[in-house]
Amino acid sequence: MLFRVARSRDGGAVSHYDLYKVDVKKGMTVLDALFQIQDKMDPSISFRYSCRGAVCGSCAMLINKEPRLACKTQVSGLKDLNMNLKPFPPLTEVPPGWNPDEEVLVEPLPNLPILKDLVVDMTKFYNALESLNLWAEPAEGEKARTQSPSDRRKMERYVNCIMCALCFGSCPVNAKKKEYVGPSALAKAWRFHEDSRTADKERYFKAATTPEGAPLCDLIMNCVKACPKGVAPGGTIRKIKKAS
Amino acid sequence: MDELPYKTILCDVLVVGAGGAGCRAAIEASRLNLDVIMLSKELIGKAHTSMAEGGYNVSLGNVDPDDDPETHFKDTIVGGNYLNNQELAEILVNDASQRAFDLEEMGALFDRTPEGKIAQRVFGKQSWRRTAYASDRTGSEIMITLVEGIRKESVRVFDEIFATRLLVHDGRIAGVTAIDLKYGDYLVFRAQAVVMATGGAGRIFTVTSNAQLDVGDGYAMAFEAGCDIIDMEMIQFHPTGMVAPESAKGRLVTEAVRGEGGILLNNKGERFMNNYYPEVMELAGRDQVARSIMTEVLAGRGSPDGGVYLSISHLPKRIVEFRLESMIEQFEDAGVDIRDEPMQVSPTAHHFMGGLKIDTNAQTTIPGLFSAGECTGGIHGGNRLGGNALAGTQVFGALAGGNAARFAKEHERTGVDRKEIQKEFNRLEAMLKRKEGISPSVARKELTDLMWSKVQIFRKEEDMAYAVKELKRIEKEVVPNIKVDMPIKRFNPGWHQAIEFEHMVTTARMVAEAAFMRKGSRGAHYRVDGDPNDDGYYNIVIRKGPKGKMKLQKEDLVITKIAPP
Repeated sequence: MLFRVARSRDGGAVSHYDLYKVDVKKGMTVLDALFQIQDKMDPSISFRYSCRGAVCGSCAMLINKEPRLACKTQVSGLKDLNMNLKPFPPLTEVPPGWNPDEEVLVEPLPNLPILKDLVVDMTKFYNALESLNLWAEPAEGEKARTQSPSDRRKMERYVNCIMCALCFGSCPVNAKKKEYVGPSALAKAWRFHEDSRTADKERYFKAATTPEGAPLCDLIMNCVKACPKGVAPGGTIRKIKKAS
Repeated sequence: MDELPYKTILCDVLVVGAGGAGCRAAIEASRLNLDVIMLSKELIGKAHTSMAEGGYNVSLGNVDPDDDPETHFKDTIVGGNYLNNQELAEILVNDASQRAFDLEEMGALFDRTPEGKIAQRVFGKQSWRRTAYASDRTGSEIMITLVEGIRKESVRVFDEIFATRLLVHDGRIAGVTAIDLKYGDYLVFRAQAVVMATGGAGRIFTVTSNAQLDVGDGYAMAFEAGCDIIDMEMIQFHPTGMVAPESAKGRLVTEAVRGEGGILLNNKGERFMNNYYPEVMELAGRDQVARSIMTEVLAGRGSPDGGVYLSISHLPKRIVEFRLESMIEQFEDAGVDIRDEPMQVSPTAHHFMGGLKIDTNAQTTIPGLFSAGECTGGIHGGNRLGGNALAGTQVFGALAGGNAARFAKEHERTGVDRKEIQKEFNRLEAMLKRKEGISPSVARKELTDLMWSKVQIFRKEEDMAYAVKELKRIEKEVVPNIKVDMPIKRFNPGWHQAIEFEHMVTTARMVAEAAFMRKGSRGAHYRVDGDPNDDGYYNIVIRKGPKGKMKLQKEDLVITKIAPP
């Protein structure tokens, strides 16, 4: 199988694509393929990874024009996958010469500046969380807190977020509007708003409905389709819009 | 020697490592109103802590009211084969509950009892249901919470920074040298106090459950700086790791699979645990199951990919879907449907019980240098109970962070030796400039294969002697000749691997030397040729001697309450 991988030695933009012939084995993931390229063909290629098992969220990238985790994407089934994302330029502009029937195309995650090859600068993604002050402000107290199992269950979907930024990279609004905080930050804000232990829910409501927040979302739902953990931030944003 | 340009960054407390222990230490120090910097070798929040599945041991007694710290202490010491430093184990069991409440305070969502208290479940070798959890993603929940806690505090986070060497001046810690992985710049961080929270070193073995960066940087840096290191021969091998695909090799298959009724089979379809531990079968101790599986594999009764089969397909699909959701997902990613097909598993290097020797203030033998988390030794003794590691990150993270802050308030920042700094940066630069040499990925493979084949679950005298000899040779012949294939500084994985390699070799040698010295079986250290006269009730402490030689010595156990039988 051929892999066409976006390269950018100095960051900024993709400078060219390199083609590698990968020996594909049963059960192989795209991350395996990148390891093979790095170990046997081209030690200069850069990409992030850590846990190898869809827990840390480091290896988000664009695979065959769809935002995915490399460790969670089987090479063999790739051709049959289709997220049905609403198109926007990074998903539609294909490099010259790419043959989707015979080659896997691997590119950096859109909507964030490229640092080198498949590594993007996550600062903007993290800054959104910082700017909205997304951390817990529980009521004062020294003792153990309680939370009913049903209140706890309400949080189930939100807590699965692994901060991989696939939603951010799949969002056409993030592509256009630099100020948009992105889907995961809004889901995170609502996670605190929904937490039965939160004393000042208004604070998180304000964060979610800030002008750079939910009002900018067009409910395109690419984030719901791209999320590898079922967090489905788009559904939450719909709730935020309704509540405001 | 070239004069290489570098930037110096000053702070009061420097935390090296950004997992559970590092974040907790940074938060604690920051709350004492000091300028705190935390270095992370990868993006913040991606550390190995997030991969811990099981839980956090704390004797809250929410489901079993008779549980108390005393019983937790006893289980920890018995589980650790009496090798634990009992002063440290007491701190662990006494502080675990307050640190769990701290996590709640920061927003962590634990699973709940019907009354709304933190739920607790049973884990191996514990007297009561003691393990607090958040489904099978407890570590991830704790990691996410701590990162939010870090955002709330004024901690300065430097991510994708690789600390390479500890700087010691006038007998005190002075800071670290580091490189910025993103741009390749050389950096010096100076502080009055430093907390090491660099995690374990599973990566010195071919097959490991550990994330890719866990290569033992902390052990090697601390040894080089003259710090005492304890119990390095004690390495826990988890019995069930994935064997395929290649990138997921060694990835943990949770004990819950066997807990829910999963059975182990060899290539003849025999339930082989019947031949080893017929009373408890698959639920024997971690070390016992690991040895049984390895025995089958070595006898040629293994699966094609070098493991054995773990099957759960005899259970109703509904049960599997409900109780082992994340395992279904994990194997789906590898193209296996565990509802119908057996998994292939084999033992995987999982946890280092040994590490930097600390006192009851979490201070190492170098004044101003503190340690917390897996890189710290002594707490877990010869074997760690599942659930005690996450608790340990919080208890000793907070202890180390608080005491580092107090130390920083009481001391002036010490000087640094510019020559030593230049020497270090020249060493790193040389890896890029060398015309000929050995590629880091080739060197790494040689090392990890050596450790995996010789210093693994079954240990014997001749293998240990061979490993020590080989490691000395690698230190002399390979380490100084590591050559990065592409001489660029921006985000160059080859360079990072090259720098890591020396740390890996030093760590591996400490493991092998200590395993060579300990002649009898004790804890996780299993000698097939075990000397029956060696009762093993001592700790092995390693320190750097004259001319950089590795000195090992046996020390008496630290006992407060429970004497070995």
